[in-house]
Amino acid sequence: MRFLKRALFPALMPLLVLLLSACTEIRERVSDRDVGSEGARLYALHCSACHGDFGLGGVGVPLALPDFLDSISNRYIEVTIRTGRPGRVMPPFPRLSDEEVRAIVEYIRSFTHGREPEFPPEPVVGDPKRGERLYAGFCAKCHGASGEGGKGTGLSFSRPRDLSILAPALNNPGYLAAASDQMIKHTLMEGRRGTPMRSFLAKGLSERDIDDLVSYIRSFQHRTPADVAMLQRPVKAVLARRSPYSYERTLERVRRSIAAKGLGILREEFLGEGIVEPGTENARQRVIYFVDLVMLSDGLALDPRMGLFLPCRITVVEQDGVVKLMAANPQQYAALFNNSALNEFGRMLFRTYLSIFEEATLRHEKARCCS
Amino acid sequence: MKKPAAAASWIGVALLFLISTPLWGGDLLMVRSQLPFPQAQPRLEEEIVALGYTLSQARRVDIDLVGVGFTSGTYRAISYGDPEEIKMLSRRYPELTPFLPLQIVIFAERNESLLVALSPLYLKAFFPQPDLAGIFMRWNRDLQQIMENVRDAPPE
Repeated sequence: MRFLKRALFPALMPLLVLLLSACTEIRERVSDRDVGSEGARLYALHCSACHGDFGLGGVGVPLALPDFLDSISNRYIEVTIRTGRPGRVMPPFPRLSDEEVRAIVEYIRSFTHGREPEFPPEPVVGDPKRGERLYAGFCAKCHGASGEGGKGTGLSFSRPRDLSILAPALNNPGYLAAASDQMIKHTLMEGRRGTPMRSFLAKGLSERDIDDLVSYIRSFQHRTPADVAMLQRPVKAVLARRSPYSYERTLERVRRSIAAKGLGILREEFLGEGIVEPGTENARQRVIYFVDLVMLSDGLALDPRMGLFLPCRITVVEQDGVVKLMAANPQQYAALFNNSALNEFGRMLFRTYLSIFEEATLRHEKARCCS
Repeated sequence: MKKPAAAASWIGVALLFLISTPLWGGDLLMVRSQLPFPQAQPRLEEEIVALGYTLSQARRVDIDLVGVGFTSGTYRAISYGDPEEIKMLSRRYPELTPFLPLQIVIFAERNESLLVALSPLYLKAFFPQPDLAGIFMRWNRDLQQIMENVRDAPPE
């Protein structure tokens, strides 16, 4: 990872500078007419939170790169809006009308005022077996061995990432539905200025090689990526465990278990403390916040919106003589954020919560051998 | 020859829709505000209070992150709620307590701010009790209004 930071970040710095300086230019290019349009309104409503007001990127990837917009068809953008990228943060927008989608596409085009490229409709015919070998040599480094794409959630200027431009997940069902063979071929032939994607012709590949590569990339559509299949809403929103111990003892055991895992308790408070009038809090509803730096840093790097669920939080409640431990189910994160990179992170947190719950509620029995 | 493969691909995409569409049909609310963070956070707090909620102290999310390479020290979680409602709901539905009080996180992105919240409607599927449905709806409506007001606020 350090190597990547050292090698790639400096290489991509000029791009960051280019994007920053492009900001003013793009704002000027988007005319008053565009700004007041229905497309602008819809873009502000549905897209700008992630992609930025003028397509400069944020949680989502930047859209306002001239070479990007000049190499994708309107259909590509339309299908992307409709299907999103399952597991890759970009959500689908199935409820927008065709007219609304077209208006958004028109507005996105206004970022560069380029023309929509035309691609022949014919599929590319090539040898996927040969393409597989070429892919391993020329594409896998950035796009992943199985086309899973780069890691992260796009660029963010306030939080450095390993890569400012994400290599697209070529195996993503949304990408494969949106990108035609000829569009992929065009990108391979021409590359994309302002991104690490270089022309494969310039790299010495022939058109036949590129056709083989396209046919291999197209073959991804027969295999749904496993991590995308994991994006399911959990059965339960809450993890809960009944404690056999008293309320105070349960709290103490939770604290001890957290500490034994090398995690730090940030603070404890009564539920609603600071909101309900001081002194009227329910003394039998305690919230413990805990985390470690690596966990927090990893979570926010995978998706900056993870601050909604980090630091971790366990609520200990006693009601009618029953003591319970509860936490929001971390298995929901990947599906909520449409981010399959959070599958493993969510599973790790799930195991952590369960382990704390088990340790805190485990009933000690005297060893029989000694009785 | 190509048609069955293409059809299979579209069926796959449609199935993935079924998995992910409802999750994005309002489960996560996110807006970008043109206000820089030092203006956006107090504005957000004003909007929450204007709807009659009580604020808790803002909580830092990015504790010590500068030490591990993060350049931003501007990430906060804002908790809020109605005091009596928190008491009543946590007593009646203890399993709702991991989601109480309500929360909006706000972080800086260049000179703008991003606001993210879990839509209370997400909870509907897990807490189907009839008396909660109206509460979730109201929370969601208020949350949307709060976030839209911050989104639409012009920078000073």
